[in-house]
Amino acid sequence: MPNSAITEQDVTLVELLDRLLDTGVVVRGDLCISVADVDLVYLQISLLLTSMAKMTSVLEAKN
Amino acid sequence: MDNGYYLYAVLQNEAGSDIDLDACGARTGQAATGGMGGRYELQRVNFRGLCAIYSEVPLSEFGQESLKQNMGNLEWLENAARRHDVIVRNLSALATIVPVRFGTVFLSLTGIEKFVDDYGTEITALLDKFDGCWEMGITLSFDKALVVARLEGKDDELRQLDTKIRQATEGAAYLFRKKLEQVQDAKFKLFVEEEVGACTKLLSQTARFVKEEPPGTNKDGGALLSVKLACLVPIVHIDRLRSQIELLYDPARVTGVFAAITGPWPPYTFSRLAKTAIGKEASHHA
Repeated sequence: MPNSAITEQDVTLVELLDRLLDTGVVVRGDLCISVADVDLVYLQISLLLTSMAKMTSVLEAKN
Repeated sequence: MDNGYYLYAVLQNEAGSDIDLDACGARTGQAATGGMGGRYELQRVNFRGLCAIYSEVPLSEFGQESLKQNMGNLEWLENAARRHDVIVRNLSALATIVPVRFGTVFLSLTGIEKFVDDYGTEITALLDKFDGCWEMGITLSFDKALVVARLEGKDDELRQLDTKIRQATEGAAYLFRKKLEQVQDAKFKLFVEEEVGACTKLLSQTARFVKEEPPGTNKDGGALLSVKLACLVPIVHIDRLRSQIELLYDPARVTGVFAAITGPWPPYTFSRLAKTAIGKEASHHA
């Protein structure tokens, strides 16, 4: 179900996390630590909810 | 307490030397200093013509195990992610940079130098590619029911199947409905592919690079399907790109397709290094 509590700020945060955690130069090796294996499942779910919330609001505005 | 070295970005030596690092820090909330964790200032290290921007961080918060634990704490993660983004944005506003992934912490400055040494050629190529550009994100969301309803209005095959269902006996109607679902799926998939192609073509007129992110989204998706595009756009063309998308997907005019625009961002999505280099690095240390 669309979650109307999701705000524009949440959208930006999800977009931000999606970018920061899944992109950028990935460094591997024993000289450094890098968050390379972050579980992105919850982000994908959030993105889906966000998209649904956005669509719902657009539809409501149209109707 | 042991410290690590949190790496934010790499840029050309000359550009890096001119940047006022004090002005690029994230002095938000109660943080007294500009780096991650709020305890140390941003610093630079120059190596082989490139400049790496980093700050010290306590390993008690940013060490391998601590970081993994903190990543599960949404409040910590949001705070850290916003702080990282502010710093990278500030740097990006002053010079062309290659952002490094969130949470990259070296145990020594030598580690940063080795990284720059290993990836210097590719980083230099990315800096050329990013010059004068920011990243914009476009998410196209497709509502299958609305798109199919829109297609039915002008698709003979869909209309004929619909008519057959209404005229057939119950058993035959079931089979026709199955056939209709298959045809709807195929046409929805084709519609999404064509729409993404058209959007990519439009964006390519303004953007220097466009890519689907992640590539090859499964367009057989369920009732709602989202396709994300990332564009590397010259700063002077950002407003034009925004207007083009808003016009193309005006919700008052277009049914079933919704476009959300985000950005401008530092070129996060375009900063992956070639897989060959990453593989080489990984196997080298294995």
